[in-house]
Amino acid sequence: MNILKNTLLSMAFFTLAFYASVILLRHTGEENNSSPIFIVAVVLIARFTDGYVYGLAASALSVFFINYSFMYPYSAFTMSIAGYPVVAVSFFAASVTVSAVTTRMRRQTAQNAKLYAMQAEMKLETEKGKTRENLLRAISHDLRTPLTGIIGASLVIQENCSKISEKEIVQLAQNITADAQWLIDMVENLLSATRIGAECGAIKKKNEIFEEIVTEAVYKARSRFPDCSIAVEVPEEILVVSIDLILIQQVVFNLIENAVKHSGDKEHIKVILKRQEDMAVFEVRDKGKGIPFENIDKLIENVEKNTEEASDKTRGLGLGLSTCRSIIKVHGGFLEAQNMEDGGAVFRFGLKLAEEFRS
Amino acid sequence: MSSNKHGKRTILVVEDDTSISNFICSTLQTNGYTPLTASDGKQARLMLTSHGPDLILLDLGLPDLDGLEIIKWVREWSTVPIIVVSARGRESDKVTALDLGADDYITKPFGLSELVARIRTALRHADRVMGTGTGSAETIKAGDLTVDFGKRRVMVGDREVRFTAIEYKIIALLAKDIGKVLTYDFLIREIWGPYAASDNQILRVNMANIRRKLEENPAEPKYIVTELGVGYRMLEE
Repeated sequence: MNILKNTLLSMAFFTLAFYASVILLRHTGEENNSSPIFIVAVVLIARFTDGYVYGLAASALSVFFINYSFMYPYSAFTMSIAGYPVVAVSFFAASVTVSAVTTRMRRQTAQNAKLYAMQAEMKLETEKGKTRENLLRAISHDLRTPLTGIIGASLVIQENCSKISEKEIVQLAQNITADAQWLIDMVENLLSATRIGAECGAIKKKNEIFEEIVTEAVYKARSRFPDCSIAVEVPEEILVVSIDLILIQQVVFNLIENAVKHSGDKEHIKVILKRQEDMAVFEVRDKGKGIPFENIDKLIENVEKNTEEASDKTRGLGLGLSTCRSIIKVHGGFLEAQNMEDGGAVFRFGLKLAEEFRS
Repeated sequence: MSSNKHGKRTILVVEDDTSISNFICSTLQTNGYTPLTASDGKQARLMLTSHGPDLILLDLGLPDLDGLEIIKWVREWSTVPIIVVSARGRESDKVTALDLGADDYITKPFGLSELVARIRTALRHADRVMGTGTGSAETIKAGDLTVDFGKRRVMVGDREVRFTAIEYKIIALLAKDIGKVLTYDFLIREIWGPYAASDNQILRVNMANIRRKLEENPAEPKYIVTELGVGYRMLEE
């Protein structure tokens, strides 16, 4: 590949110099023009090819053709021209010098690139470490609260079942269910997070029909939160995306769940799937209180920072959203949140459509 | 055949976790079934041969052997309905189980009503297959949806919906096994033949088109639901 490129490049420069010389000779009749032109060609060849070979070969050919084609007697090689050896030696010297400089330059550029790559990798590692640390902190806090609730409620039932009413028992059992449900969601998020964290190879992308995922997540949300109303809208067109099914399903469900739990509005949740150019865009809209931050990064940052003193209400929001963000990131998509003009917030993510379905 | 004197159906619960097994059994009892339990594969085989239950609820993760082995073993000599209990994210396990002859699956964590509904559907399905000797009915009704196999016609209410030949085949297959999950691979084999590519995309695009013709809102299907990563199911009633 490189040999081909180098050869073609050399031939191109050389041919150019040759024809320039032919034209100049024809129009001016001046024989001294060809040498500087060929020198320029040789310098360029030495500069843009790898190693010394091409420059030297071009020098030899130049020396030959200057003598043969551009100096009297034409179409004949003769050693009798005055100063000819000097010309020959300067050609080779120029070629070797430029090749040496070029080679050294290349080596340095390569070293720099390696250095940059290492720095970037280190940065990524620290970032990963930081994410993991935040995650673990959020988890330990988040696990303790519902577990305490579960143990408490079940102890009350065991120890006082003769003293409390049936209604109270049902109430306690409902609390246990809610807490356990929450723990399950949490574990799903964790599994997703570790799947991304493990290696990028761990996520299995396949072409999937986006609306099927939306349908499934909405169905799950409706059975989990029977007292809220969720409207769904999908486009006439079938949107196919190349994704990890489980992970994207997680994102879709998390965003719906966030709207249900944190927007303060359970009545007007609307889930929209649409196409924007070559992206499939998924949105969850609500008419609740909106988000007090200008963008999603600030929101996640804030929730993560406040995990320690987080109230019951924001419990799990940080983990859910930052998991979503990582999942969308490894899929090369975008995730954003904003307030709508007529109140409420919209959370939105977009993924590139599968290539063969972009037409 | 093995219903006891009260006419109660017996269900074998194969599950190694006691608290899960306990709550399943008490649910079954309150819904009028007689539960039997087995906590490992060896016990399960013993119970199966000695009690001949009407249905098996099988957890795939058993301590002594792979639950899939039990499906293979049972299917050598019995058509007793098997419902597999599996964890989320293990879609390939579900598909393998269904392809080996399991009738349905339910994903942990599941609700009680969901569990009972699955059991009812599987038992009804088994009765239908055992009962009517000729097997196939002329028409299948599910809510407003009517599939007429003789006339190759699909109606929603009074409206006839027109489908392509492939789309009709998909609907007919699902209707004949109404209530049951049919895996992508099974549908592809039935429609495009055994040498068709195992890529399920064509099937799924066809299904998206079917929904656009059949359902009021294709995002909220009432008749055919997707079991993500596994296949499709036509809902009863």
